[in-house]
This record gives sequence, C-alpha cells and structure tokens, in this order.
Amino acid sequence: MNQHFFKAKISSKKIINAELCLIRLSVDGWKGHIPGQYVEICLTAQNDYKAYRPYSIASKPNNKYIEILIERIPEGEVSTYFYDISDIGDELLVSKPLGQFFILPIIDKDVILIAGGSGIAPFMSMIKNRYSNKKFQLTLFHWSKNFSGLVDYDVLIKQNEKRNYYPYITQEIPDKWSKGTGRINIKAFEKLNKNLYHKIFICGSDTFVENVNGIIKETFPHREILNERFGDV
Amino acid sequence: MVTRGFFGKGNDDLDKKRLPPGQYLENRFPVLSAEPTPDINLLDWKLSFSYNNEIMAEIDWNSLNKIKSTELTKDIHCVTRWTKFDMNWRGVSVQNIIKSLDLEVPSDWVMIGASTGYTTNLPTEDLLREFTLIAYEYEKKPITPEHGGPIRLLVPHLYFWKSAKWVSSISFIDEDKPGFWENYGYHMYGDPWKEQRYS
Ligand SMILES: Cc1cc2nc3c(=O)[nH]c(=O)nc-3n(C[C@H](O)[C@H](O)[C@H](O)COP(=O)(O)OP(=O)(O)OC[C@H]3O[C@@H](n4cnc5c(N)ncnc54)[C@H](O)[C@@H]3O)c2cc1C
Repeated sequence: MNQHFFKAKISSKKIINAELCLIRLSVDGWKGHIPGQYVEICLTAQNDYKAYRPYSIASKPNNKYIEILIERIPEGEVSTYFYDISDIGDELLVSKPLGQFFILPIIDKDVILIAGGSGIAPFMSMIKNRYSNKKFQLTLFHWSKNFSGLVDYDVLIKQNEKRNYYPYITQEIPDKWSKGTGRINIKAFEKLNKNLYHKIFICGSDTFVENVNGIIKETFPHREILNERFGDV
Repeated sequence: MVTRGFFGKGNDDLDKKRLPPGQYLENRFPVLSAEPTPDINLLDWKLSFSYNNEIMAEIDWNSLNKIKSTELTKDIHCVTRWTKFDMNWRGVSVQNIIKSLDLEVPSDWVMIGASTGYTTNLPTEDLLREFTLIAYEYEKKPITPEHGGPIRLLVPHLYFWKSAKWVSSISFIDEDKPGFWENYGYHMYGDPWKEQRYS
C-alpha cells in the first residue's frame, strides 16, 4: 500500500434521524484539510479483512478531528457499521485529505452549493469555514426527504438574513412548513441573479447530481459546474 | 489495529486474486465524473488524431463502424475503490483504427481529450494494447451518456479514470504530461495492481 493512513478514534456519535449520523473522529497527527475534500476510511476486521470507503469531511478545518456525515445504506458494509454498531472509542484508519478538484479553498467570489440528502456533507465544511469572510455569499440549496434530514437547519436559518439558504423537503412535509417542497425544479433558481455566481457545486447521489446538472446547464449556461457523486440509489 | 465491531461482509466465497489491493467488489455501475454529462449525437461524433497541433486524421461513426470490432469482458477497477467483475464491452481497438487510417505513431505519449474538456495521459504503448478500445456498447447495448456514451475510451488494465468518457481526440505528445485528474493529484500511470492511486 503506497498510501499513508492516520490512526483515529471515534470521539462522538450523533444520530440525526433514521438514516443519518454524524461521527467525530480524533485523528493522530491530523494537519487539517481544504473544505470540499474527503478522506478514505479504512475498517479492519479481526481476520485482517479491510474495507475502504470515501467520506466527505463535514467539519471546519482544524488539526485535531474531522466529522463525517454518514447516510445508512441498507445492507451497506461500512455505513451500517457506523450507524448501527460504532461507538465512542472505536479505532479505525483515516487517509490524508483527498480530492483537489471539488474544493473551495478561499471564498472570493459568490458560489452556489446544491445538496441532495447526505450530499450536504462537504458544504457543511465550506459553510463553517466561511464565517471569517462574509463579503462573499455561499448560497445553499438542500433537498431532503424529511425535515430531520435538513442537517444544521436551525443554524442555517438563523444566518439566513441574506437569503442564502433554501431548504426543500420532498416527502415527509411537516404541517406548518412554509419553505420549499417537491423535487428539484428549475423554479428554485429563478430568483437568483444569474450573473453573480462563478461556480456551482453539486453533491449527492448519482441520480440527484445527474438531475441537477440537467437543470442547471440551462439556467446558468456559462458557469463552472463541479460534481461530487456519492453513489447510486 | 482492529476496528471493534466490524466484521465486514466477508467476501469469503470471492475470488480474492481478482481484486487488486484496496478494492472492494461492487455489483452496480457507479458514475464517476467531475462535470455534467454532455449530450452527443452519434452521427456528430468524431475522433481526431493529432501531433504538434496538426490533425493527422479524423474518424467518424460511419468509418469506425466499418472496422472490425472487438468484444471483451473485463474486470474494471475504479480509483474510488470499487471493482466490478466481468463488464462486457464492444468497440474497435485503437490499434485497428490506427492501422485502418494508415497512421504512423509519432511519439511515446498521448493526451486523450473528451468533448467536455476532460483530459488524461497515457503511454502510446498502452494506447496500442489489444484491449484498449474505442467502445460503443456496454452489455450489448449502446453506452448511455452518463457512462460516457455514445463513445468512450476503454483502457481496462488501468484505473477507470484513464478510460475517458465522451472521447474526442488523441494527441501525440513528445513528453508525458498530466491530464485532468493527474493534475489534481492522481497518479500519472494508474496501475490498479500496484495501487498507483495518487502521486
Ligand atoms: C468522493 C466521495 C465522497 C463520499 N462522501 C460521503 C459522505 O459524506 N457521506 C456518505 O454517507 N457517503 C459518502 N460517500 C459514499 C460512501 O463512500 C459509500 O459508498 C456509502 O457509504 C456506501 O458504502 P457501504 O459500505 O455502506 O455500502 P456498500 O456495501 O458499498 O454498498 C451497498 C449497496 O449500496 C449501493 N450504494 C453505495 N453508495 C450508495 C449511496 N450513496 N446511496 C445509495 N446506494 C448506495 C452500492 O452500489 C451497493 O449496491 C461518498 C462517496 C464518494 C465517492
């Protein structure tokens, strides 16, 4: 193996809803990351069988820990370990931060972030990293099946004075919900100033990313569009 | 170091010799691309061969379709760690295209280009291997757009990012240069058996 892995320990685990959990890993010798990057997680069984999967880093850059947002895939080898079994103190391996394309190192221009479900993970890191520089806008669209899947809703709504958070619920719509509903649709982007944004980041399942690409191409024909695909549904 | 509580799905009945190091077996066909899928009409598709910014030859679908095709079934390995066994493809080997165009190979390296602007580098030797195809069928059906259709490159012995989707140009170059992912830190060659993921 030509890749370096850091030793890591689960230091907290938060169950968000029936599908999502947020895991914090304290990583020995960690040196931080660029928002948008992911790590490869390596789990080792007693017989030395190893499973590797990539997960986006959801936390703000720092040199102690990372957080990953895990969506439980039924019968998924690694995601069910994290959601169902993992506990504080469990040890695993974490690669150095990877990916040098789907990243937002400094924010000096307005960008749009479009997330489907757990695809919000890399954007959580970008948004948390932004607080020091409020001159430029990150506009986040998040499509989720249900309200509980709108991770960080309370925080994001509070900071929404500039109208830069657009939550959408597609299935289990709460009674008093006054924000977006329904699947991704061209109408969602109608109110935006098309000339403002220089990059558009899209993240989620393959199907979600593919759908958004189709819509976005027409709405923002000359913008740079970056994709991160988590897998198939 | 063992991860408490993790047993893995075992993969016990799996032919482990077929899995390169660090890969796991995937039954579906995940999509890996950095940009939106383009919409390309087969009849508008063209592949150019060039050297020193000069086009040496071009081939379109009609002429490609007249060259003897190859069908092959190969295990495909993606740098994001999935391996899919027995993927069935049909296409024309680059070897045969070059023969039929009567081209002389001018250099040891190529830069592959796609209509999206995507690029990836290869040694000419690997481009001319028997199983490097300009592919147009997957599992006996036209390749769908998100998987690089109507026509993509297939370099089955290297990590899958080398198999450029929507391939449109092959430029011979005198010295090896990084393409799109190679510029973002991926390995210049990408042999899955040597686990050449990142440089
Ligand atoms: C760059 C990158 C970043 C990623 N970041 C995240 C992240 O932040 N959070 C996260 O939860 N996941 C993320 N993923 C997906 C993750 O790597 C795993 O693929 C996912 O957790 C499933 O792994 P598993 O071992 O549980 O399932 P497996 O045992 O590998 O798969 C079980 C079945 O589920 C299918 N499957 C795989 N992924 C998905 C999916 N996303 N949705 C539906 N079906 C799927 C597989 O094709 C397979 O048939 C990312 C993927 C990539 C490539």
